[in-house]
Amino acid sequence: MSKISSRQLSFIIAVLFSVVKFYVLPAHVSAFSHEAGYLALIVSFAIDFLLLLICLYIVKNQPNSSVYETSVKLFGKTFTKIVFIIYAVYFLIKAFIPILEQKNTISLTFYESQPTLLIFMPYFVVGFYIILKGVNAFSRSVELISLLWAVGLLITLSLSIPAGEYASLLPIIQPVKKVLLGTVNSFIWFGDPLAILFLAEFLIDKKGLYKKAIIGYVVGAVATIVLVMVFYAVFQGIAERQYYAPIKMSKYSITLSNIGRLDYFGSLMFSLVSVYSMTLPMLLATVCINKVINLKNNYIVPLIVTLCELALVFFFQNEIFQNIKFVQTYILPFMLVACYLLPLILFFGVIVSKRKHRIKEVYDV
Amino acid sequence: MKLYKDREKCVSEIKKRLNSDDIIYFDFNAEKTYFTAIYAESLSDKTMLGKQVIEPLQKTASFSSINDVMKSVTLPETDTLNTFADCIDKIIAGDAVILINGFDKAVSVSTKKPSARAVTEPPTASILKGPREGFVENSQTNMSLIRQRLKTPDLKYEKLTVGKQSKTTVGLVYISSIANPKLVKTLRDKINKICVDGIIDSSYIIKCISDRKTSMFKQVGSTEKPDIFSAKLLEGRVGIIVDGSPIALTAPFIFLEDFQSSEDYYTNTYKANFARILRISAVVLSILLPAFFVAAQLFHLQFIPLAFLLTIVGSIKGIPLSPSVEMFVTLLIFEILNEASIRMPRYVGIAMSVVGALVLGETAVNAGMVSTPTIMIIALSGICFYVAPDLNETLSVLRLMFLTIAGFMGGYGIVLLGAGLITYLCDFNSFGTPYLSPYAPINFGDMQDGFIMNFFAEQKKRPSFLQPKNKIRKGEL
Repeated sequence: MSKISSRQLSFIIAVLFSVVKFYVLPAHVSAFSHEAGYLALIVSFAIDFLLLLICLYIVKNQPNSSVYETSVKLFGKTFTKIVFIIYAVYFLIKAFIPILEQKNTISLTFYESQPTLLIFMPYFVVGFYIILKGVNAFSRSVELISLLWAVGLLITLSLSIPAGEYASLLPIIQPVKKVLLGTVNSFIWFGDPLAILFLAEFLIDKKGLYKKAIIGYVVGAVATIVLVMVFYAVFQGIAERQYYAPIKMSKYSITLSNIGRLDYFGSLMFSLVSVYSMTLPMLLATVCINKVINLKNNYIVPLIVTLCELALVFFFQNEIFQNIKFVQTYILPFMLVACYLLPLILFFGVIVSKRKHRIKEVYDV
Repeated sequence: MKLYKDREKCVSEIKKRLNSDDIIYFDFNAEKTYFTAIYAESLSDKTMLGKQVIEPLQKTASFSSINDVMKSVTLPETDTLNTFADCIDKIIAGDAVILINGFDKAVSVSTKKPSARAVTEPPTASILKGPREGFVENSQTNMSLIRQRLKTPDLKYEKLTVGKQSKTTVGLVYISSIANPKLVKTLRDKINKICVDGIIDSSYIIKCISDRKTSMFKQVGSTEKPDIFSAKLLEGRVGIIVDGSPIALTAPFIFLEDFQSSEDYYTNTYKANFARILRISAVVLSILLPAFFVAAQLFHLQFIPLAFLLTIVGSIKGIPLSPSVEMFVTLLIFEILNEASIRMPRYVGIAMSVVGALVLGETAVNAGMVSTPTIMIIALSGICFYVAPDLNETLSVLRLMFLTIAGFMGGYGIVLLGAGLITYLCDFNSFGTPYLSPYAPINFGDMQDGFIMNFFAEQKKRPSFLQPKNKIRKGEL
């Protein structure tokens, strides 16, 4: 049976929510906010923190074990089913950009002269296998790979920190417009705490949920912000063109000329962690579809989800930046609604139902 | 079929059913009572039978019941038998069966002749410090070695019989005040359900009771040393002893156990921790080194430092095979040499190593068939294997898998296979215990005896993943 503990959830939040922000986001946010990129990310993380608190409140206080049941109770079965199908689509789109980022990172850093599509395609076999194994194996794996995440981060930062010019991050106080521009344009990399709502039904205990989830979130946020700060300090004015940060930012270290490209090992470790971060939205899409159609065969839904994602990547693989632009221009409103509207509605629904329950209790007494 | 009162009819029926020349039928009498002792010549101790069974019976004047017969015999293990099937089971197990004229029951006496070799140091688990005794093929001797270490009335030994033809004695050993009763029941049920012709060795039991029968990963622990076995029982595990096998089993089994050595507990904790880190690094190196070398040569030359790259370029110049094929072939030769040196008699094995390592390796390099770095990497990987000897079989398959994928896909292939392997292992349970405990799921309390070992005085609790009845291992020291 699929189970997940609060601690495992905390690891998912710290490791998987952060690693997707390591590749293109540092350069992307630098293009809009320049030296204030890290401030833009602080604002984004603060907004996501509110979403995290809302999701945690719903999970902790909902009368039922799953969001699906809560939603059915509040809004009816048909509406809930439609909403869950919409969320399955949302998660497929959510997985799309990290997969493209990863594919491009692989092709540009490791396989300069080989066609990478064939080399990258087996990811979908592994992704399908991970989804098939379920939430239990997934969450345990994340605990294990968190060590690789930490080592990868340590390698990348320790090699790149000496090469940075930290005065370039000043002044700390920046025009609000400059900061917000970065925040608005980096939205597609945020909104991850929504996953908690869909993982809630697998939680075995909610003891210390707030504490562990917040610690996980803070660790992930601090790691990302530090990485972005060091990244900008290393590249400064040309930062906006330095995509795939982990592999670019540490290449100027003198150590590498003596011991070889040690930073590639850090990047490979991030790639392994990314396998799970790319699979998480696909896993959640499977959870959503399973709620709606409840098939007895375990293979069909994961296979459909994986094939849909494969088709998306196959047809739109070439221009990652155009894809990001497209998502930002046309799909962002849908993503915003999906990301914030349901949690907010559920949040108020849970508050109202809790109040009704309390009034009923008082009258019963 | 029930026994007859007529002794001779019983003898002829048994002869019909057990038609073998090594079964002896010995008639004797005590005044007016006539007996026949039936035993297997190769299994029973004739002196014991004569002195402790036949002589006392001959000295007794009369027998009014079967109990009188049993009381006359001076051996403790006696039993009353009612059917021919019971009689035959006892005879082929090494006991002697006494048929008495006028009784429709027989008496069995345990006259088994122990044919055990001496207790010696097991060849698979040599250590510098610590007990040197090893299990032998006789399960009673093995049980005595365990009892010497665990003098508690809570130490239980449940005798089960497995195998339609072999009727092997399989002992379930556990400490009732520590082991989880659910685990004991699960194992008992699994062993009782085994339906095979014979259990020749304890490895048959492993194959029958494992949850994932097609997996290449070990799911049941095995040891030849009573000190390790006793320590595992004290942690809350359940042991299995199979008659005829010097290898005892323990369950549940976790991946970490292959990195633990009994010597870790007998030496300095710092040294033990260093050794454990070394073992893990060596195992990782043995699997990934050939794969990364091939991936670097084929796809990611930038991985290799320039000076080393120049050396490699110099040495691979003129090699006709591609790096992956070269590595694969060398690895295959290494595996053949390994297999041959294990099977060969010891003195030929040494010659084999010389031929393999010096002649074959040296000549292959000189002939320009393989490069020196390849030989070096295979040799290093091969040596690294033996720091965790129990993992040997699994590691060689994994090494080949990683090497093959590295040859086709390079570094990202290694990453993907790694992710698949991690997920597979995380999904794995051994009798309800997560295989990668205490790291996935993380349990900081259980990490006291993990890859980094805590001081002996600090290891106060038993591993919680075993769900023992009694969680406290020791008080204040």
